[in-house]
Amino acid sequence: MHNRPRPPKGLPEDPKAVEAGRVRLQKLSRVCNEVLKRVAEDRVDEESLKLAAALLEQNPECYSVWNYRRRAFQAVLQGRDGSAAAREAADAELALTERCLRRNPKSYATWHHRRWIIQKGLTPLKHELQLLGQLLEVDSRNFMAWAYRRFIVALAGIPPRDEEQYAAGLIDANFSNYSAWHARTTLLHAVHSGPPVMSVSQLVAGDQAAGAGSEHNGSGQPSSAGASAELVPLAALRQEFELVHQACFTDPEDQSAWLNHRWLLARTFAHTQGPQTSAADEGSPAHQDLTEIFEQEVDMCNQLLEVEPDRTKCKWPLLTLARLQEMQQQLGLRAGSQGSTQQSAADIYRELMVVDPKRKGYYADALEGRAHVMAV
Amino acid sequence: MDSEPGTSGRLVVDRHARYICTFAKAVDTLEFYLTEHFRLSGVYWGVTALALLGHLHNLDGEGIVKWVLSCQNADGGFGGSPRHDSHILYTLSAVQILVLYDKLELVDADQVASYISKLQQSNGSFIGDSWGEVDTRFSYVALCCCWLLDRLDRLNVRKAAQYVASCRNFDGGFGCTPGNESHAGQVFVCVAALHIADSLDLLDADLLCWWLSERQTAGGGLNGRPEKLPDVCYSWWCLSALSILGRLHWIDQTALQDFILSCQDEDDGGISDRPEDMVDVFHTFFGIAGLCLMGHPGLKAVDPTFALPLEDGFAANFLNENE
Ligand SMILES: [Zn+2]
Repeated sequence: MHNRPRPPKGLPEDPKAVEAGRVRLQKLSRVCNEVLKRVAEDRVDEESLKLAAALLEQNPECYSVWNYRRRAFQAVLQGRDGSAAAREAADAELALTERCLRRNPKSYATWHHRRWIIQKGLTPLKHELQLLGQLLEVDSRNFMAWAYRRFIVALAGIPPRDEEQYAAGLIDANFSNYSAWHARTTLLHAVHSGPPVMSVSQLVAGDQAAGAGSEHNGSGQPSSAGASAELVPLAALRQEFELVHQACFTDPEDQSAWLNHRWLLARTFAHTQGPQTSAADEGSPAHQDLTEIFEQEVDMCNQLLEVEPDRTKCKWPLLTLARLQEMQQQLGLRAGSQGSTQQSAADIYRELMVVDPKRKGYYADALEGRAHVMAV
Repeated sequence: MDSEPGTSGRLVVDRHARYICTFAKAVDTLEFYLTEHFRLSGVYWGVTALALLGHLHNLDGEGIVKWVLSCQNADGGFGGSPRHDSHILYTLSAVQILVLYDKLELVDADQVASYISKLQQSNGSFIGDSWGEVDTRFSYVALCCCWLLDRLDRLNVRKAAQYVASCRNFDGGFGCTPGNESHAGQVFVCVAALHIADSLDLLDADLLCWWLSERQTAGGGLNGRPEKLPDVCYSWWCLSALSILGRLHWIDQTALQDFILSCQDEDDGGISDRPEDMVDVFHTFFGIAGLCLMGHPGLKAVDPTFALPLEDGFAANFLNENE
């Protein structure tokens, strides 16, 4: 259980609250016992389904009762011709899950039931995006809502560019929205090189059990959707860096943007690795480009360090600077114009052990060359 | 001694044990009805916490084992309680409890393994039951369960590992299905699954563990995702992964132990998600198990992959002989 305040000790119990609790227990136990009895008897009628719905609205994770509803509606929902009965049943289940989700937006069982209904292909997807928009507005980090959104986006064939813009809008509204930053990392490659990162079949692959509907299903091999190994064009990375800079300057202590920044640096560094790249060749335009990006990022960190005299608030630019220097060194690049005044990566790690002592062990390992987070 | 108000800093072992036993016996409460569908997991959390506290004898083991067996359905799987359908999550809880009491011989291992193996999909993923929900949590459960039953050969382990690896993200963490955001709970199941599948080479340990170390907040507690509040349950999710990957020293363990202790109810026992909240069995287990991983004095050792006690007793023999 989360976020339920601990009652103060030593106070006499409020008789009204005690009575309310007793009544609630009596009601819940009665409906729970009655519903589970009817489920066991496989009793499907209007009253039983109504009782089951009432229980789920109070206790949406009661998965066996969702199973009961699926068994009850399975046959009628197979009417893919769009028979009135099938659509009516689908609409009613969507309305029930919507009520449950508005009360408890983090219920695995409810989201799954909704997905199961949607997979029957009887209902338009527009409403799904509206509902998701509302739920993500209430909690923009709800990962279950995000997962369902990816499912709907793939199902509806929404282009990656539209989703990228949706994520950009959320980041614009709140730079600290890590869920939206994450979303960008899964979309960037698709936006800049065409084919979708994930196909519908990959998203729903596995949803093929005997009881599950298969209208929208296919089978496919999973791809590493989140951590695509494909190169992102340097020009696209430059744009991403600009967006991240705004966030870093707005709140230099918020880790959302910095974690994304590390990824961008690693994706930039990736251009120097592997046979398909020319960035490793000195004198090539790509090498020039990459050198510039690294210098620009060093400058950004230095600017942040200049405006913040309190070093305990400088952890992120310091750490980023250390990693940039390591990469520059590895590639044999000169470290910017004010190289002489700069601390070495080792010095920075030593300072970080003081500035951010909770992660002393990591910095010590990084200092000794035992921890590498820029590997391709 | 430990009843003095405001003197946090000591684990109130006896009170936690008493809290768990009281909870186990309360069957006519609102809580009971709201949690009935996952009671088998609740019992697993409770008895494992008791075992780690060294108080397993305080509960009637025979009665518990009998009740666990009553949760098995004809398909070989276990429901969250006798009135519920089979689900892979509760099938693991049942197997874990039986291992803990050294009573695994009371189930037909082939039948249980067969229930699990039927849930594996062609792409290596697992569904939670016949209704088709896919999640990397179920991949861990399947691998863990079949390993404990000594039936790992019933699964396509390589494909299972590849599916888990396909859920890896830009930050080195893992989500519930490909493309979904990293979450410390999901990181635990994926790391432990890859560990059982002998496929830890499919993850980037440095990057992932650095991300996990960044879960430690200013107050010492760990959160599950960036810019979220700390919560005792992440003590287990993050620490077990760090422990499996040999990088527990990347966080401040003293600060974390202090945070967990500050979430104890020192009078009535139990541990909550945060200091100001109500205690529950779930956080009591994860808090204690987290303390065990950090070698907190007075507690038994815990296995970070299988989430079972390592010392003294039957589970320990079992784990040692299989590893
Ligand atoms: Zn928690």
